[in-house]
Amino acid sequence: MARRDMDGSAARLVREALAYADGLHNLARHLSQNAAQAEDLVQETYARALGAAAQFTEGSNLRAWLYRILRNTFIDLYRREHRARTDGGLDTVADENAPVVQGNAEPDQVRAVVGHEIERAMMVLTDDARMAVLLDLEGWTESEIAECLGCATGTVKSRLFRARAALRERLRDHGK
Amino acid sequence: MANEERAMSCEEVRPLLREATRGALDEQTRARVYAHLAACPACREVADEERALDRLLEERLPQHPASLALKRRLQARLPAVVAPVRRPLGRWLVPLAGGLAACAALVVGLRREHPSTDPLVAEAVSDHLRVVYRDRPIDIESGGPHQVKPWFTGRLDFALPAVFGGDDEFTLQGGSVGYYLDRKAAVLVYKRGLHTASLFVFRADGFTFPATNQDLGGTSAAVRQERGFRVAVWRQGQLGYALASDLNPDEIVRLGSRIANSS
Repeated sequence: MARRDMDGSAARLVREALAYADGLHNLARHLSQNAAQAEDLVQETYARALGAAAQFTEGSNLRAWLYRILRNTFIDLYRREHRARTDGGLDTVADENAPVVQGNAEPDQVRAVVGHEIERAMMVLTDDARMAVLLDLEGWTESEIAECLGCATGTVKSRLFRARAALRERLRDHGK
Repeated sequence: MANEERAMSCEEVRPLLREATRGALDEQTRARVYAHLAACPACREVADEERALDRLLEERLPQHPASLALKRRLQARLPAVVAPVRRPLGRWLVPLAGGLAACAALVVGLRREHPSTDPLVAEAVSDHLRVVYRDRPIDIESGGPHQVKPWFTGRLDFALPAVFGGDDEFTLQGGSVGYYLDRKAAVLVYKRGLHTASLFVFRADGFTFPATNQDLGGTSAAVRQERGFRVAVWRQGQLGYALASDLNPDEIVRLGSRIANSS
């Protein structure tokens, strides 16, 4: 009977979690840069959420919990051999595949900057720094982001500061 | 008090500019930041860049919401946990006995190098999972094909041909009416030992079938691996057939051949 109750509440929890599918997929896509991996990542996130539902404290932040599962799943599945990308310290990684976006002085052309150029600029950031920027953009508080990344709020603050400075530098001529 | 009113330095102001430009600072701090900005062109420029970066990301960064197909797949797997009890390992995505094997299959599925993008194959697995997880996957218990086939009459928008009624190796458990992508389907459930196989029969019109690579005793089928399951998809006349199971490759071909040659 206890088992039935647990499974029932687990299902309810994950059903509630379905409301975050769009945001989770968006983040998964920005982390993996790969459509198939992003879908797999979201599916595995929900599978793990269900498996770990008993550990979720009723009333705590479901969104931050889910995103944290997604982050950890991403590291487990795709970053095992590249942990340096998520390690603290520097918030940018030397990535030859993410060239600096070329600026352009013509305002019209500046406005015409295409999304994938920004995405490539984002790829200069470490996974956690990129997550922080994306979640901040979605209106998450610093403490929510900290909960998701498993670090202190002060770390989020400084990480966001450095990551956005790096983005400003790379996208300077496009944002004006 | 004196300390609070002291003018802020650039180093103090810069980390606050993101919040300042969004109006997220308390009144007092905000006033001090803006007092600094009024006197410091360099920090004003950074503040402008902060605003510009927000605008650029908000307006130009591509957004990737989950596809409807993905949402449907996520949704489809949920009822599995509402009806547990009989499954000691009734975890989402863990289909049958042997949680470890299924987890391995899941990982294999996740790490596949060339994920199947064929919608007919993907749908077969999603629908098979639904069959496995449903409380009552079968609406008509099989007393043999003569009992099952008439049950479908009037419940489908096509005439179901003769169905494979099972033999010593594969037993027909029964059937139900389901959906295959956008259309009604006859769902037939077979068992081989502990393994379940789901057969979906549906109108084939409008579907593009995947390239065939397997002979089912006169009928060509596409046999694929998808998320750890074996799927056979083929077309016979106006109807499409999709068979999904955790059977091994030889077994699924044998079952597929018997089904194809009964129709």
